[in-house]
Amino acid sequence: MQALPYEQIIIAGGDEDVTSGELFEWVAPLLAGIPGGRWMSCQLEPGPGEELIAHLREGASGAVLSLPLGNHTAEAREILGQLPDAQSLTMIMLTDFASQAVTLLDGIARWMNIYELGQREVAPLVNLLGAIAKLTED
Amino acid sequence: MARVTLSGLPASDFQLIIAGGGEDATPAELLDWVSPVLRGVEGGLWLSCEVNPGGRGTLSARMRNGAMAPHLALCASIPRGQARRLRRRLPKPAPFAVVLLNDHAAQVMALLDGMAMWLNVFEADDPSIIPILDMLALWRRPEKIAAAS
Repeated sequence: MQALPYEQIIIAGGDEDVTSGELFEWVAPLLAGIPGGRWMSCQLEPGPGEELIAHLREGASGAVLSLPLGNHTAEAREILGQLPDAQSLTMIMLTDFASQAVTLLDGIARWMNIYELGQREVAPLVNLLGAIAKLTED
Repeated sequence: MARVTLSGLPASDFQLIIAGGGEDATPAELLDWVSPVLRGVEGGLWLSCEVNPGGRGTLSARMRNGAMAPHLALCASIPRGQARRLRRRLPKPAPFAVVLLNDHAAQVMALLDGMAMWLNVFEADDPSIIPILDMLALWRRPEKIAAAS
């Protein structure tokens, strides 16, 4: 499994009423207040055709990186297939304040799960995020 | 009409959230719970206040101003008369926590909901919050309170 420097991952599903962008915006002030900006988020949304788009943010910088998953689309769809139904998805990785993030997402997300980053169930996701992170380094 | 303009917080553009603590959640714990959101308010336009019972009918107030970094905490005693006016306005006596902010009030409310004993949110021009604003104005004149106590 890829090593990401966070302890927990929250996965929240959006639907026709709440997009992954709106899920992120709802918790954005909380994330902005995390000392040292120790968090990372990834939104997965359908792009043109069959492609999936990943929107990445890393706490230390304010930049948003939008990446078509290209070669990773099949892998991403397989991962999405293991999750409850959602039109879009927001993932938040963080070390602190996960309880507050869950409290905020609870009620606006279609469904939500929280995992420790070392859990086997999230290994495919962590690997995908690691691969995306690697793309951003290249 | 709000009479007080607090440092860095335009009186016409903020919301005030009052949350009652209890045996399970002290005002400090209520504020700790929402502290990351407060830290995330752009420009630090917020002010928080923990109110606890003081001696002989007074209340003690511990205030933090988001505009200041690192945040400076001011501890002051609220005189008995003002304490009475505050108590009459609230569903339950102290302790309680007050958060005044110009953004992200919905997130703060969502977080406090469920752990506070009771919770109210007011707009800046709500006349019922004047006693609370008077209390928060202690931030502006701590020297007067120190002289009065």
